[in-house]
Amino acid sequence: MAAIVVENLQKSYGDLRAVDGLSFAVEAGEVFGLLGPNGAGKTTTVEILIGLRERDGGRVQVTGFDPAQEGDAVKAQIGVQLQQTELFPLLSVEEILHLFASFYRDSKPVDELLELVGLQERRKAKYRHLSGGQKQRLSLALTLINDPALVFLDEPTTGLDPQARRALWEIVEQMREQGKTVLLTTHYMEEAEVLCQRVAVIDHGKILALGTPRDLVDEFVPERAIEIALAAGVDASSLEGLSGATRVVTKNGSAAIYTTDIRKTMASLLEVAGESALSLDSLRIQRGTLEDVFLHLTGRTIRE
Amino acid sequence: MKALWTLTYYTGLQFARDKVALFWTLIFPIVLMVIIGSVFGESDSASMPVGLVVRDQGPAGQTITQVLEEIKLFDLTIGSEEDELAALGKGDRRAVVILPADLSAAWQRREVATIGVHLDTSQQQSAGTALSIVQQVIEGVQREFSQQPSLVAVETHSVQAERFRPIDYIAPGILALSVAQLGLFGATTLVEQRQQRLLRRLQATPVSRWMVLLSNIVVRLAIALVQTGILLGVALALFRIQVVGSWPAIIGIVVFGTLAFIALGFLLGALAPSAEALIAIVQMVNFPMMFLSGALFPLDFMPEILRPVAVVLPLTYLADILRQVMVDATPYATVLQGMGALLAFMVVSAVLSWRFFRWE
Repeated sequence: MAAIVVENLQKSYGDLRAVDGLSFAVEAGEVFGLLGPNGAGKTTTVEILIGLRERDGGRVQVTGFDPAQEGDAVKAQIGVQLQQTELFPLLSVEEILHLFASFYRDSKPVDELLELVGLQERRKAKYRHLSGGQKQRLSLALTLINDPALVFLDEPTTGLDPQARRALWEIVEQMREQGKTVLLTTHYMEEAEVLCQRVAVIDHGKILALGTPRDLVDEFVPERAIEIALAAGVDASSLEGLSGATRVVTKNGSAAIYTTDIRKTMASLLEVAGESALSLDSLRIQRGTLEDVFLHLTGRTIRE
Repeated sequence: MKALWTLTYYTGLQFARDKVALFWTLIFPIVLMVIIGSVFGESDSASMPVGLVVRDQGPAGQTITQVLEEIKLFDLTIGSEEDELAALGKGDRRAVVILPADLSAAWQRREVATIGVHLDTSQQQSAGTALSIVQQVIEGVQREFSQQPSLVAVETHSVQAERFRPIDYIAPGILALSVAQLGLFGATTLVEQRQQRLLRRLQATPVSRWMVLLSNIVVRLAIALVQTGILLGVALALFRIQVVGSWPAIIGIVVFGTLAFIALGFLLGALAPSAEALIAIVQMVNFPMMFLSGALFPLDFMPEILRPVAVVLPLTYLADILRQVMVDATPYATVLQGMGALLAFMVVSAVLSWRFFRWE
């Protein structure tokens, strides 16, 4: 059974069509990403799904309920992390967990949650003394307090340093291992690639593409780049003639050979290398990324 | 229910850990009372010099003189108008009362007689007290006269005047003021939480808005009661004010007043875009209200032109009711009228704030 079903979802703020006919389904047990720039309609979509905002049109089902009609039933069964939320500054980590636990009929032991997010040593610390990463980890622990099957994470790592971001990724990985369904929004391509089984690329309230990160890259940016180092004085022009190469970009002592037929181009490159002083020591083959997918679909980068 | 109790407990805990809030709600009112109480406490112990000029040779003049002499707060001097006014000018009198020659005759004819009271305006507080006592005495005597011409002792009317000291007036006023402030600032926590999107986060849980609201109100009420206990404790121990009213009545009025001002505070919270703005708005309401209501000094004392302002200030009524119930002071409005006025403020504010308060 699908954990979330969205059909032709509509939401406007005045003249702005924030969500413009979204349709997708999230299967139980998968980590599903809504990927898009700020203002693409991701947060509005999440807020409609968790019953915080009314939709203008379309059909929505979350854990079998319509959040507009049965908001309380939905809220009892999901975990939610919202963007840029500050909690109670003068309460400690464990006090906040106890408080939120009281909102639900059943709750997980606080110790277990603290261990999961690695905050055991900060359990007595007041919220206002936590670092940004610790605050985010606490808010992840709160999403799990009612042991929900479905978790919503809205931009969980925005504003965090790379180390804190990686720590959060591990927690999301654990959620997936526990069999939870996760819907997360992000504007970090790397995050979507690492965490999500499937991704919907969103812009201006519409889905531009939907699939696994790998399939999306294969479909929209089939080119591969062969990167090699260029020793000083080596002429890169011989690379232009490689079989199957579409273009060659040289910069900072390296060359990237783009191709849609990796076998042909590699064979041709080995041949050329054998006859010249070209070094293949640092050869790398790069796939396209979701960033390239977005660029391909919209003509701009995601953080423009 | 579990959620409501836990929310209330942690909301209270947050408040107990907020040192700034604790200072303003629990310490500041005491400091204010001790300062004002000590300043006027001195004019208490030393009796208040009042001059009396008696031109009326009839029974009214005699009775009034008798009653005024009995008032322990007054150090009464009877003399000529010239001497007494000169003494007032030198600061040796707080007030000089002049009884006109035709006083008894006028009262017997049931006509209005004008009694001159000269006040030392440099000593506003004690002059105001003197004025209100003199007024009560004379009105009391006059009432006796219009009912029956024969002379009767008027001790029932002088009871109030004897007991009445500035601190008796000030203590209930400061209690009213503290309760009002507690209520007016009542929405700051919620507005802060709205600003930090915490209210939104709470709405994403099954907990209802009512519970969030109710937990805040319950905590404010509890603080109001603690505040009342501490303030009255200090007033009783340090200034020996005599509480004549029943404690349940006082507590009931404090609870009622707190609720009325919380409703008003939530209305301000509904209008304020941010917590900072809310604090500014509350101060804009709070400061004028402090001085324009009768909380800190008698309304008689205000320039005529400002008195209509007091009529529309809820604090005027709360202070007035508390003062009546606590020290049996002369009412400005009856307890029922005052409660009615507060109830009106509460209902209107509650309806408007429920209509306009934004949760995001």
